[in-house]
Amino acid sequence: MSSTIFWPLHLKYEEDNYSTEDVTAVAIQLPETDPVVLKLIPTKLCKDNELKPPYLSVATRLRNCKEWQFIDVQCTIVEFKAPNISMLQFFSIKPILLTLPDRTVDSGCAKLYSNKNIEKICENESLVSTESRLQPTISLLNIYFTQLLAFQKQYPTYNIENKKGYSYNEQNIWNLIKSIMSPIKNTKVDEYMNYIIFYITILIYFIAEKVSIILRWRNFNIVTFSQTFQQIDLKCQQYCYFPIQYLRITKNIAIREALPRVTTESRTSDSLFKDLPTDYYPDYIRFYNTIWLMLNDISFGLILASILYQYKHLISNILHKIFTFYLYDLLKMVTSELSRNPFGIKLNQELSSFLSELFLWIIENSYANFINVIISVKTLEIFIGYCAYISSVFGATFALSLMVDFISILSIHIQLFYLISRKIYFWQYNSINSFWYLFRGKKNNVLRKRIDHHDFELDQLLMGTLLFIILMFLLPTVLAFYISYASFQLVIILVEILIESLISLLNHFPLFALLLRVKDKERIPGGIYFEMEEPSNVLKFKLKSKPLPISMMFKPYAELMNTLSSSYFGSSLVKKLIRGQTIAVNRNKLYQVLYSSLPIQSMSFDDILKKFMYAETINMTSGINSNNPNNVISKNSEISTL
Amino acid sequence: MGKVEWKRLLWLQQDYPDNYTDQKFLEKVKDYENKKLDYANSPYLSVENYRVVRSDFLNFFQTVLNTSIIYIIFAYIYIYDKDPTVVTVLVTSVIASIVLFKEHDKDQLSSLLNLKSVIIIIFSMLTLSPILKSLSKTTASDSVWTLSFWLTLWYISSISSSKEIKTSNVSTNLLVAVVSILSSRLSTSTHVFCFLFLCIQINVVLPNLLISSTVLFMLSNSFAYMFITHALGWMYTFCITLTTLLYIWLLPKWFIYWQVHYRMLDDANTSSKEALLTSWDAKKPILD
Amino acid sequence: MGYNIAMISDFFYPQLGGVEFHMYHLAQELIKLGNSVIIVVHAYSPDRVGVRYLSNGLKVYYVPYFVLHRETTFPNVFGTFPWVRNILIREQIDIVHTHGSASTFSLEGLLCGNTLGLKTVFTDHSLYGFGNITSIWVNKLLTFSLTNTDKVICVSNTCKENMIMRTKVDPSKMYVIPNAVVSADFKPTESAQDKEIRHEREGCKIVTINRLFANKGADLLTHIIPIICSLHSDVEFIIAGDGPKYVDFQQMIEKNRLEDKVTLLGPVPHEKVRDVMCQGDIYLHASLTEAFGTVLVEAASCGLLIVTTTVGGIPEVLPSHMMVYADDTSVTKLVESLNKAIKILKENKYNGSKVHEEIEGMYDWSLIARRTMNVYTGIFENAKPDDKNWLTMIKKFNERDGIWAKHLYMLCGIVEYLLFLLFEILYPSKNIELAPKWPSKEVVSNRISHSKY
Repeated sequence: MSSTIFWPLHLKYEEDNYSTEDVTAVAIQLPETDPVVLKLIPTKLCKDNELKPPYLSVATRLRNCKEWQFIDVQCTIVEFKAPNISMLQFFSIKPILLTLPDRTVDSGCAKLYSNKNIEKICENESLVSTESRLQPTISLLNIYFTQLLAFQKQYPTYNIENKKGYSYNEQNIWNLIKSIMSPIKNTKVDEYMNYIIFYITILIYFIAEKVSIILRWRNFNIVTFSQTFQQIDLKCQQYCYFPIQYLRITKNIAIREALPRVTTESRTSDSLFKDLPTDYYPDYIRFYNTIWLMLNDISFGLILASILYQYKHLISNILHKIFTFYLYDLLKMVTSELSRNPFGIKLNQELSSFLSELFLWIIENSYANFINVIISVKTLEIFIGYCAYISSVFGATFALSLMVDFISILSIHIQLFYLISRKIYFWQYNSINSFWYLFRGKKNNVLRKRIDHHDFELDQLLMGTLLFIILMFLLPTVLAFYISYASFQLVIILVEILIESLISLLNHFPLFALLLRVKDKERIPGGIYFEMEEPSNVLKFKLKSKPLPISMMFKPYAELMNTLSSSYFGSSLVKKLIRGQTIAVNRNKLYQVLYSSLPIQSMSFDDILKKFMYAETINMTSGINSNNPNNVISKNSEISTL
Repeated sequence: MGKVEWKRLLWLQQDYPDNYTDQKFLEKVKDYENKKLDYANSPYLSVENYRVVRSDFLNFFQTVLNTSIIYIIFAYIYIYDKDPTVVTVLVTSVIASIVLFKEHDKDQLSSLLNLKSVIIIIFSMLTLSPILKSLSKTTASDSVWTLSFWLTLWYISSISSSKEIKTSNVSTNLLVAVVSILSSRLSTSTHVFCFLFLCIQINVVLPNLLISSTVLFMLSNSFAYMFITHALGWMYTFCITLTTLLYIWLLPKWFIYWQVHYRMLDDANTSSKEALLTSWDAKKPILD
Repeated sequence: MGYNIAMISDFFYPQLGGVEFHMYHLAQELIKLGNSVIIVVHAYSPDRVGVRYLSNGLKVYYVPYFVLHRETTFPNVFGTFPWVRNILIREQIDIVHTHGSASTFSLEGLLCGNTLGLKTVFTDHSLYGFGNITSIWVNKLLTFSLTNTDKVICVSNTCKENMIMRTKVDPSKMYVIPNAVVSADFKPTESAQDKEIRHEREGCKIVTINRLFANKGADLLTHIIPIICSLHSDVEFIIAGDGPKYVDFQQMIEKNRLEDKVTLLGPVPHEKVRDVMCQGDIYLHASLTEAFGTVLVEAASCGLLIVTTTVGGIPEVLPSHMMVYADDTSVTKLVESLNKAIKILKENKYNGSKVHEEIEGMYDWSLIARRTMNVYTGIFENAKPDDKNWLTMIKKFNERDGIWAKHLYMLCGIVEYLLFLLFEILYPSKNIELAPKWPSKEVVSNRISHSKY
């Protein structure tokens, strides 16, 4: 079998420096990887000093010669641009997950296999890739520069300064901060500040966690009723998750720094591959995405607040008119119309006048007692004022959530009407169903889940049929009431959903990932592909990184839109209406997909405290003996056991 | 000829061409053709066969008549605005006395009616009749008539097409449906109750008590004719009587003629081995 | 050389059943005899559409068409003409062979083939009475379609006689060629000794595999099973199949508390039928009508003793030593026969594996295909030059019975011919691209051997 050699692109520029002498390409090859060329070394330096595994030489080039002589003649060359991991560039075979693994929704992938033939083809053994070396090799490529460093440390004799070679330099804002902060490092001030920040973090965590627990109390889950409380809960959960995310990110950075000392021992290479950037990197994206969105939210909130404040009178006037029309006038008109044969449909007079009287009474009462007060221009102005304040302090999402809750409180009588008429209809629909079975001499066998033939007694038949006929005649009346109130309720729900979608957009927009994609595509890998190069004496490919597709970033949104459209539009809505099932906003279920960047169960306070303490001590020790390699290894393993 | 005789077997390789036709069958066909020409001597024309066919026709006639009695009672209450209480009491007492006289036939009776179900039926009808009364107030009469017409057709077809147990449920239900829809046009709860009660007694209880009784037949006939005379006059009665007689005496004959000539049936007894045309029909399962 | 044959029907894979298997196996054997065979059926949505190749280059055209009821297309005499004409010309068909009288595609295929002047053959697989509206309608349609058809094949003598009475076609034009089974697919699993041992240990098992419809004797079965179970403590039933009477079986089991004696398997895929059959010792067939009864041959081939009614073509199918007949379709007679069969088995008088060998010699698809080939060659030998002249054909319509029917037939014949002329003008047959034929095995092997030298 011919081997595959990975060849970094920057070495091509380096080649020119050695045009006048013989050169050897030195590569590293771990037990389960392909050789990756690390460095070009003049052959004369190499001669006397035999390389020890995992290092080996894979090719040589004579002076004034363009072509390389490969030791394995039939090898394939794969060229790649070495990823600068300090710039957070890396290769990944699979697209990185922006959602947490335990939150991933799979329906998108399931659709791909909807065709059974394709499924069969995909499962065919001859077509499934058995190449297991690719994954470890890619992992090796990702830590290319640290490997290079390790190599240079082990063989200092080969270390020739490149005149104009590729410079590997960390230009990080943190370095800048570090350099500014360096005068006060390891002083008392630093220590006190550490303590203060630590305790503030712990305090915030404690409060946020308790609030979230209270809001999601088992017996009275207020989050399902109120958008505002859901918003508070979301923020609390995000605050709870920050320290954990931060710890995970910093932990991995610590490992990265410790790597050069580990890799020379082939045993530890296993553990090395587990700590791929793929694992912690999404956390990094999620962490900064959340922070960005929070800042964004507040800036939007300021804009919203200023608009609300400026047009307070206008908005409250318009709202007053809309609310009065929809919540009182229209409702009253429809209800009274229903008792007077609407559209020439002759409803049962007794029943319809009874129902409409009942509902009219509720309308009048609720209007006189609370709607009237709430939707007066003055109250609305005060409410909008409060909204503006909250918006400018806590962000636009909070103001919008308040509006949603306001609407649902205002429309409480419509919800009540809907509930009553739905209950009546549901009961009637079910009775008609079973009487229809009886009418045909059949019986629904609930235990065996089938329709049995049954010989009924005469009295059963008689009662059943009489009731069946009566219910059939009354059905149009009940249906008319039910459908009218259901449509009122639907309009309210649609308005709420519209605002809530806006909130969810503000809360979960993948802003950071999108910006990363614009800035540097290699920082957000969505897989790899190979490009064939011009053929020379060997087969040459170019390894390229594919950026994460935008559809993947918006996957939770696509999911949300799917559930929305399936539950509020189209045939399933009609089916639900006909069967008399409840139509309501199920917040908990609906926005589950958008919580995908948060863990299902937040860590308990005690655990997080322990973890913090631990991280603190590690930081201390790493600060003191970061030069001791064994110490670092043991430390890493301890962290990974956490 | 040393040739082996042809056997009517598929599994045997025989020394005959594939398009060989059974000679016995050809003879049978020839017989059949002769028989068909000889219409006068067709076994299908036997007296017994005629009697069977006529009794089928009579049964159907009886069903239609019983159903028409629903409409007669309805017209009596709705159009002539008569109080049905007296009639109801009368019919109920007659039926009750029949039940008492037929005491010995206890098994059949108890399966049909026991005291509990009688009480349930009466009380449920009493409670539901005010609701029924108001049910179709706002509905146009035409739509009620149309609905009841189609339901009646369905009822007649379901009751005459099969005498199995499973459809009897459906036919009773259809009857109750027709009666309750019609009753929703009546003005007072008493009328509704009496109408329901009468119709159920006459159409459900009575036919079960007196199976194919001539007395019942004569009674319902005379009742129907009386009503027609009263409502429409003698001319109509005469015409309808003529049609009925034609139906009872002539139609069976014509039916048999049609069976022999157009359907080409050659034997009344369809399971007979001699019958040619029916030999390919799906056999009837005999569930003895 | 072989013929180009088009088999047309409404029934083919993915649907499974007697006609479907008959067409498939016959087509495969005809291909082996050097013919080229295509099959034309209506499309089975969603994914059986377009043109497909099956084993040995058997080409299937799935024609898009409106399906009316139970996979039968909407009958309208001329609807398929444009499609079928195109296919027949494309494939340079010599013989149109259609299957099933309840199939619109099949009857219209005959008419179309005749109008194009091709030889036509029709195979019928079922029996029809004369008593009800459906069969009168089907019979009239069939009479019309068969007037100009060259040969008719029936699956049994009963079927043939039924056909004679239904359509008044000359008996010498009708051939009796039965179905066959792939007996290798229906082998008994156990040896005779094993079976004997099992009888003594577990008693005997009765299998029935049928769609649970009223005309397949479902009502008889629901009455027989409780009686047999009360008579014999060591008898068990295995019932496979689905249908409207399924609930009746469930209720029968529950009412008589036979849960541990009667197993209801529900629908069983065809490849599993043999496994189900091999679990039993007796095959019970209570059908009320049957043209041939392939399932009986399959069961006998699996080594089962068969208890059956004598309706339709059943008595012709198997030698009497494999069967226990019930004289009529009554519960008493069937129970008697079952008792007799159980007694035979208990005395070990029945050797199932020997029966399997016998059936191997009786029914074989290659034999059936050769007999069908004889019919095909017969057409060409007996053909008169003006057979497919349209005036002759109209004249033949005029000779049929029924004053109304025959004029309607003539009218349809004339309209079809006008349609044919119209299509000749609009889409001339010379403009239709001819399809390349799938090379037969001999041709391919010859070509390979030629290229070697």
